[in-house]
Amino acid sequence: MFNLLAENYRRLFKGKRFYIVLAVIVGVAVLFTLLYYFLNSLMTGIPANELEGVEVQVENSKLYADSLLFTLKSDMPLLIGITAGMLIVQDFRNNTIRNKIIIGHSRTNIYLCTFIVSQTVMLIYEAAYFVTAALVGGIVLGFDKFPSGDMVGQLLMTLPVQMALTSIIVFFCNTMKNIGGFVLSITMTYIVGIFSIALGLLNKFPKAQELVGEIVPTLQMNMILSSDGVPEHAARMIVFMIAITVVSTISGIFLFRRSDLK
Amino acid sequence: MDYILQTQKLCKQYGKFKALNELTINVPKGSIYGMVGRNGAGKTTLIRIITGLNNATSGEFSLFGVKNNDGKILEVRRKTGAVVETPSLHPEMSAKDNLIQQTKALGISDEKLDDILKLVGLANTGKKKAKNFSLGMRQRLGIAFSLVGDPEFLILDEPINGLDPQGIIEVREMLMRLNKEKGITILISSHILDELARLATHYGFIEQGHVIKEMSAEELEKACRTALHVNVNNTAMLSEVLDGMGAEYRVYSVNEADIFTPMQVTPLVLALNEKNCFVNSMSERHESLESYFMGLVGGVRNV
Repeated sequence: MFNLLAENYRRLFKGKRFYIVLAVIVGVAVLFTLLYYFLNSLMTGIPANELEGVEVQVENSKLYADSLLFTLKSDMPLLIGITAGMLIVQDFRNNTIRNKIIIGHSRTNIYLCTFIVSQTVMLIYEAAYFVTAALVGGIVLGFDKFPSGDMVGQLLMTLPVQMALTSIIVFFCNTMKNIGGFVLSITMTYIVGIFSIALGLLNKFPKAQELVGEIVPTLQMNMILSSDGVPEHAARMIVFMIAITVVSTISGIFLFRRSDLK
Repeated sequence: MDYILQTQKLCKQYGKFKALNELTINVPKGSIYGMVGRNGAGKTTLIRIITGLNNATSGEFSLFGVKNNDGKILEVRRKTGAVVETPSLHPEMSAKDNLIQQTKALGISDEKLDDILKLVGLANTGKKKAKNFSLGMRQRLGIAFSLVGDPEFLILDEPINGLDPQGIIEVREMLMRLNKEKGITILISSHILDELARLATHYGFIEQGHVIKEMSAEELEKACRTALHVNVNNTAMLSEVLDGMGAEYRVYSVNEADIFTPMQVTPLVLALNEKNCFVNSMSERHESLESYFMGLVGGVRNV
């Protein structure tokens, strides 16, 4: 298992893709900070006489680094998928997965290693964005409420969602073994987003609507991002994400063990 | 006799197609076992099952005496190296980096890698990425991959595909050296039967997913008959004459054929002359592995 992890991590850190996506993440955090800064300057730069008759609470419209911390949360699965998904799919496309099976690594271990490496990618990217946004944003824009308990709780709650989404990326890429699996894994959050309108069909059943919103990772992420503090059913929501991670991993291993490789 | 690999009525079915049909082979320890068979005979499917890439539909096999359903099979697989069809490489990495990946997966040091690269003739490739390698170089790197873990059993599927004549000789010599000096057992499938005949100490002839014959090189030598090889202007006429004589023969082309039944040359030439079939050349030769195989799988027109 450790040998497989060493092999996978070396492949991950030797490739350019990991660093390119990391640079994009850091770049987005810096760019958004600058964008917020210029928007703030624009607001404060308007002469008072031009605001006559307009009811604007300048204090409320100022952009702080607090919201910056959540900006990339919805798009993070795309970035994780580009690195982790391609790492998995390339192993199948180049047939290098064979080299591990031939020398006696079990398929369960191979799957678990790709899972661990993908989760590492997720954690590194999340940390990179958080650190950049908190440092650059904190210095340039300052914080309003952060680090309040509610905000920290909200931020932590996004991690099980990203973990569940990453495990689904691993499932798709390992099961489909081709570019189709990769494309599906990086677009899944947007596909779910498009069809989230279907939740309206459950209008008469608010309990079911609430449950679906909490069970589907993309919808749960939207719920966390739009809530004022830690959502009401936080514990239940975390359990749902852990359950999705466990189920997708076990079923992924089951399918991988039964599949024939080229 | 000790066997590295033994299969027992191994079957592999894809839908209604039986790729392997109760296939049974025995690969002796220390041998170079040549698998001979047409395209689609089941050679690669067998290799995929042995290496763990595919699951057998039924039947069983044992590797180093360990059955495939035994948990220890993963441990003994560590003692094998394989190249299955196309070499499995990381295209963005150099030859050495590729091999380092394999040392990581095996959990061993990379101190022997330079020797392995030298052995396969890739010592001077430097930082050149594998994606820029020629087909022959990729093939060699594939073989190098299989050697990283110091295997006791090497499984090679068409290892000389894409190699130039010099490369073929080098790989042949390397495999013979590995077999003789390190005692590595080699299972090899190749379409280039002449090449296989220079290497193999044992043969398994596979047809339609079934082993139709297994024999040692000595046994093959004895079984291969002496034939009269003739070049004529029309083998259809030749066939007519030979059929009339009740002779055993094999036609290779419109001009060439082998006659296995001992016969006097003069009556044959006269009989052919009567049918306006002219003999261009005639020579005695020993039956090749190729013609023996063709005979086994039904290439002989008249037995």
